[in-house]
Amino acid sequence: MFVVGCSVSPLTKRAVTFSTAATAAATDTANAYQMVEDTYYQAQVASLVVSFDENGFDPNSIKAFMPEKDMEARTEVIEGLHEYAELLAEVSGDAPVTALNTQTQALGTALQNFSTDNLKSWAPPAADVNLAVTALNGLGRILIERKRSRALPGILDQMKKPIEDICALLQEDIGDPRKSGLRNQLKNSYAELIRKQQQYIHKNEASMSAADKRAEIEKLPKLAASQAQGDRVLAKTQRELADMAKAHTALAETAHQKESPTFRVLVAQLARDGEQLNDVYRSLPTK
Amino acid sequence: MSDDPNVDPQADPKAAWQAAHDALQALSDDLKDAYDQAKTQEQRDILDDIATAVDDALTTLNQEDMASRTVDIQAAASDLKDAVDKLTKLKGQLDAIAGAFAKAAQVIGSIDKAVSTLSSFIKI
Repeated sequence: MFVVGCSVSPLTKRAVTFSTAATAAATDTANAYQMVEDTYYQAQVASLVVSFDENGFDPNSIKAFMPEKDMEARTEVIEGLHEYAELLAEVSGDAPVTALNTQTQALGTALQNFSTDNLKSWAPPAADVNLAVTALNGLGRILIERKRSRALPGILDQMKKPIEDICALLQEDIGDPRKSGLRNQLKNSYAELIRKQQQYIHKNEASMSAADKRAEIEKLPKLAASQAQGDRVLAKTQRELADMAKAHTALAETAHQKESPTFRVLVAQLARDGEQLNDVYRSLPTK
Repeated sequence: MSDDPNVDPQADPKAAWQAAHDALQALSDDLKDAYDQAKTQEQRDILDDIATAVDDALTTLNQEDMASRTVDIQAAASDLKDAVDKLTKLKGQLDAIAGAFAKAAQVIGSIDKAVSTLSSFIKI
């Protein structure tokens, strides 16, 4: 058995914590676009149902809310955030040290397992092999830590402004329920869904049974509740993006500090945002 | 096109866009109230048609607003790519440290195997 030590810097621990929360924030942001897209689609289908007898079905009439080129740019930046967060975790986490442990142990085993008698005769004693392997492992860890502590602060610092800009742009995309963005589009799509549902009831009530009419009317308050829930989720996603920018800035600015209470508070808030949103997005109906 | 006479679209396109959006949003909300108060199906059909057209116009404005940020988002994606490349390089350097030990273990294993083969061949 070879002895291996442990020395992970505070920055690398913080980077791993940030990366987990940032990955969740990126997923929630992708879900925000998808939720608005799904609702826009449902509103178009509701409109088709009401106007079908008069206008029939034109396959080109159903369109995506986000034009392809604009959505591609968002997808690319969200995937970039995912990749950035994942790589940050990979280089900051235990993986390089675990790989080092595995390989140094393999080296020790190779030294001890000479199969030929000729080599066995000059193979070092097991105790010496253990000592050498432990020393080599320690050296490897120092090299890993040195490389990380030299490169990571620079990368984090370089990404401070881009991450702030990305979060601000995505928050602007989410917008305001009355003024702009995804929140306004969601509000208007639900207004259309509700109006078209009312039109459907009024146009068909003569041929509906009382139970059918009741079932159709019961959909109206459900739509209103979904609208309110959807807007709350988008508002939370907006806050999550703001928290992600703040946590990343704190991570970059405290790269050389042993303790960072500010970062701890910010990343805990970001993690809470992510936990709450993840469940809500998964529970929302899709098209 | 702004409905607000105080906003010059040339001087401040964002404010002009917002003024147009605000006007249409107010109209959309008024139409919703009017629809809820309509007494006949004929009135409801007319109001629904107008409201649908207003919603379409609002959607177009929201799409324009989204598109106005696309260039900045593309530039930000490019900054991210640069950071991802640097992190990938760092990951490669960290992997190489463990890789050096793997290589050493492999070389020792190969030497052992070669000596074993040679000794049985030339009976040393």
